[in-house]
Amino acid sequence: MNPDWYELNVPLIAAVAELTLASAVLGYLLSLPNKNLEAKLFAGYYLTDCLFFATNALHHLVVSLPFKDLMYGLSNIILGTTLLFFVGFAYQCGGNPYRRESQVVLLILSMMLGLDFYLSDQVASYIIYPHLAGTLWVTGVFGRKARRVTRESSLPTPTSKMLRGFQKWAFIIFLIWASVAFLPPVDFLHLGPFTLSFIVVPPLMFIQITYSTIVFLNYTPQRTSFQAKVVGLVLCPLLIILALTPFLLRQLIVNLPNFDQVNHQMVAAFLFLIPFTTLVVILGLPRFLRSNLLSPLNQILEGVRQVDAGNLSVQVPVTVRDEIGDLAQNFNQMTQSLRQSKEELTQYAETLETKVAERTQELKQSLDNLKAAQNQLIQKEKMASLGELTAGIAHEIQNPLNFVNNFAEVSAELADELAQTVSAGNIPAATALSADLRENMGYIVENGQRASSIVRSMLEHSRSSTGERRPTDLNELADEYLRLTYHGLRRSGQDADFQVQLCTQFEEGLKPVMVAPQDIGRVLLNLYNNAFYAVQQKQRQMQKTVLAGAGEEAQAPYQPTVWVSTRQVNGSVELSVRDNGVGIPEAIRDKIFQPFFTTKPTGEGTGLGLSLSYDIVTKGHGGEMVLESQEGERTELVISLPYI
Amino acid sequence: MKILVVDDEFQMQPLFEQRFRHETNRGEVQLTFARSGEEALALLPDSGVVLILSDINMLGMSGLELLRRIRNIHPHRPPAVVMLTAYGDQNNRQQASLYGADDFLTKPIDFKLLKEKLGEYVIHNHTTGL
Repeated sequence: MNPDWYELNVPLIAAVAELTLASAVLGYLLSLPNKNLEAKLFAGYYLTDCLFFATNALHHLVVSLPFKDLMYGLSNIILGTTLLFFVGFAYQCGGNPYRRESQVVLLILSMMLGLDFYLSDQVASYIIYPHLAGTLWVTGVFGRKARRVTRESSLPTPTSKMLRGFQKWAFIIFLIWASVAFLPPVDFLHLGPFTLSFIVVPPLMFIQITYSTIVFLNYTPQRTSFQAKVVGLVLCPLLIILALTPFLLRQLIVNLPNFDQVNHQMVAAFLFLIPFTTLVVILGLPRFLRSNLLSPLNQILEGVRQVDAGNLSVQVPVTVRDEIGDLAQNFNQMTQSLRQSKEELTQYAETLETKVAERTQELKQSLDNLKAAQNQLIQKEKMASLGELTAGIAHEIQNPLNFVNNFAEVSAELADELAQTVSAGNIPAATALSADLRENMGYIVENGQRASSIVRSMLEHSRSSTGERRPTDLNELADEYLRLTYHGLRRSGQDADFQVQLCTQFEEGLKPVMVAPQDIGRVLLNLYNNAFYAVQQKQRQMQKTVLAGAGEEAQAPYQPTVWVSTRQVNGSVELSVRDNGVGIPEAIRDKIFQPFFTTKPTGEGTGLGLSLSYDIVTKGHGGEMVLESQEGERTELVISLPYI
Repeated sequence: MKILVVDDEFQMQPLFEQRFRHETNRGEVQLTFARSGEEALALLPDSGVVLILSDINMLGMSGLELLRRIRNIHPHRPPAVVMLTAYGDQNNRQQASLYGADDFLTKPIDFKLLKEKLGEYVIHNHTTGL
């Protein structure tokens, strides 16, 4: 039934199917926006591929032999161009490190192709050889580029994966050319079934188209679409089946008497099926994907964006009952629980604020309590030190009072004598006596003043310090407090037998320094008390050692000694209190100025003495307090007060 | 009779001088004063002092230390050493007698009592002679 000018045969089906697939790929590639050189070369490859499949189809379709020859020649030229695009793409793909080499290779291949066209005729075709060489070479080029990329970064990168993918593609094309080269002789020699090359080449052709497209879409920097990949993946196997089925069917019907007619009808049916299937897939599948996958996904995506923007009340419509639907449902649940969490958080934040306010209030309260306690403690410390002073003060008052009494008594005697000498008329003796009396009155006044000044300073000590500074003779202050402290210690009962050698070395003519005398007095009291305590401790230790039986005579007797000295150093006055007591261990040296730190047994020291003293000297007077000590040997505290 | 008074209160000197002015004028007593233990030790040798009246609480060397040192040099009288102190406590008293003090008087000084005892300190010298 064939008309004169065309025939319908099985290879035509394969060519049309290939043409359809390649055209779909080409159409998609051309639809990509902003193509780079790489994508353009890839599209160029598919353009020439499509042309080749078209000429191939015509070659099989048209009966006329001159036309067949024309198409054959044309297809060879097109294939040559395809090869050049292929090689160009191979070098360009993922950057071209071999620019010079690519030019040389392209030139050589062009020359080979030209030479082949020149030499080839209907009988002997050499056109296969540049293709074999070219595809094999390109396989190598992809391999080299992949190794090069892998060398630069030890992990597999997208680029290296892409290059490896294209390398496999190139090898498939090489296999196609090898099949074309070697299967016809096999057929010719009747070594295999006659359709072998038809069974082998078209599937490879489909595979190379699909595979290269997938690799390109997966790794190209261009934005591609999921739809295109799905469509391609569905279309490719369908077309392979549609293209290969006729070959198999043909084998079944080849022996029928009306083979030609059946064959014709079968091929015609497939010729209709192929574009129809393709159209259904290309038009129908995306529609299906849009309605069942992409638009629900888009809705969810929109929901995600809204959630991201802070709108937690968003609900996505659940349109389908499948995985996507589940996803939408889960999304809705997720936003709901997010909403709940947010509400809880807000609520929590609110309660937190009230809690913080409550705690702040409590803290403030305890801070106030602490401050009150601190004030009480400081007052206590003050009173404690006053207590320590009392005994000393009593002694210091007693002493001048004794003199007052003594001089008053002696003056009374002198007055009697004076009366006697006057009545005896002994004028020179009377004059001498009255001079003595005058002198005694001076002593009485002096001692009376001394006593009242001591009382005054005691009162001052117990009063809160006004911190008022006045010019003060530090020597006098140091001496006064040394006596008070020492006598206080001697009088405080259990340590009455305690003997300390006191050595003072006050620099003469010390300029008065502006200080608050009560405050500095408190400092001195502390330093002295500490010094006495240290030598006392040491003496007890020594007594224990002696009692323990260590050679009593061998040891030099320990003489507890406290040295107090002042000296003027440029711009300030230095007062040093040194003792040869137990010393301060290295480990606690940086703690001794801390409040509440004490080495005394519980109840004996408040632990505030040195800390307050330190504050008085540094903060109150802008001075310094420096500690120097050697454990078991000595301790020296030096305060320096600046002349302002 | 040569008496050495050791006290860091300088008014002790006029007080003693006035209290003993009759004895001094009659040549019965000669008074010497030292303001510290160290000073006393320095002027003691060859001074002919037979009685030392010493305060206990002094800056520098204490009276008890002075006593100990004197008794190191002169285990017995002369000189007699009498401690004067404002603290009449037992410990000081014991310590003083342990170190070899001849008497222990508390301040304020009862000069009447002191004058009565003066003879004792010197007489005992000859009778006991430890």
